[in-house]
Amino acid sequence: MKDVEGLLSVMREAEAASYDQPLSPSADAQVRSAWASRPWPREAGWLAVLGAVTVAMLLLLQPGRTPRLRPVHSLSREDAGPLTLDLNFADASAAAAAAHAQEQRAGGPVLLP
Amino acid sequence: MSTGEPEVTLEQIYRRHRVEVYRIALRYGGGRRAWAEDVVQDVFVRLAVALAGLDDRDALMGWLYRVTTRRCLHRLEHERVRAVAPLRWIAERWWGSPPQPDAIVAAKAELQQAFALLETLAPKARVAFLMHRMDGRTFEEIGEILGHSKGYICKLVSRAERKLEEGLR
Repeated sequence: MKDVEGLLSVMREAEAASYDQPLSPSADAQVRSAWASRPWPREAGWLAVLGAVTVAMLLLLQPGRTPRLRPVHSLSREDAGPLTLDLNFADASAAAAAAHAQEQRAGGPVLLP
Repeated sequence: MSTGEPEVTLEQIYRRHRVEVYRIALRYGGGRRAWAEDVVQDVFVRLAVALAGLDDRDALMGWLYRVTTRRCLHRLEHERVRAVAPLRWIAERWWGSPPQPDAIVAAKAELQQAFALLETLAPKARVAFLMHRMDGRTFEEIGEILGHSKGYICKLVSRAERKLEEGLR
């Protein structure tokens, strides 16, 4: 073995001769028993996580917990409930009068609160 | 690969290809039979999981070659870490002495010398060099399998050759 080619030819010879041996029966048995207790594929872990997240989302978004939205055109007058406009005209006119007086004093328009 | 019962197919593949996988593992493991048998077990257990995704025989051969090489490299790199002096001391205390080379292979002095020389190379350089020179794989193919660029593999192989030549002088 004088150079790299010599080293490679030694390796090739070894592979052709000594290496061509069967695996020991115990190694064979180990492979087969490993198949019997085959590990879960990696994808199974991700699927489990995805499933858990989906279940959690479904539990959080139960129909009873969140208001159900309906399209506007399907709403009726009854859906809106009673109209309870509580207008206090006395307060409104007093505020307008005060603003007008302030405007007069300042010489310019004053925004109503 | 999905024709027939999966268990039967797996058994057939194992019978047909175990020697090939074992041969590759023996080469990278420096002729250690137990080491190579562990790799064979590891590869075929992985095949049992991956089998459904392989669609033809060519894909299977490529898969076996790729996975065997990667598993060997992984083990070699792991061994190198364990061989660092303080870690080796801890490892030997915990797991006992590392296994000695098999007597069958060790009997061949030249082969022993070849393995000793190859062991002077870093695991990745050793694997890339043997893939290129023993299996005739291109730099591009090796790069794809080991996850490196073609240029890096080319440098790795030529450095390995130079180091081996120096060792043989």
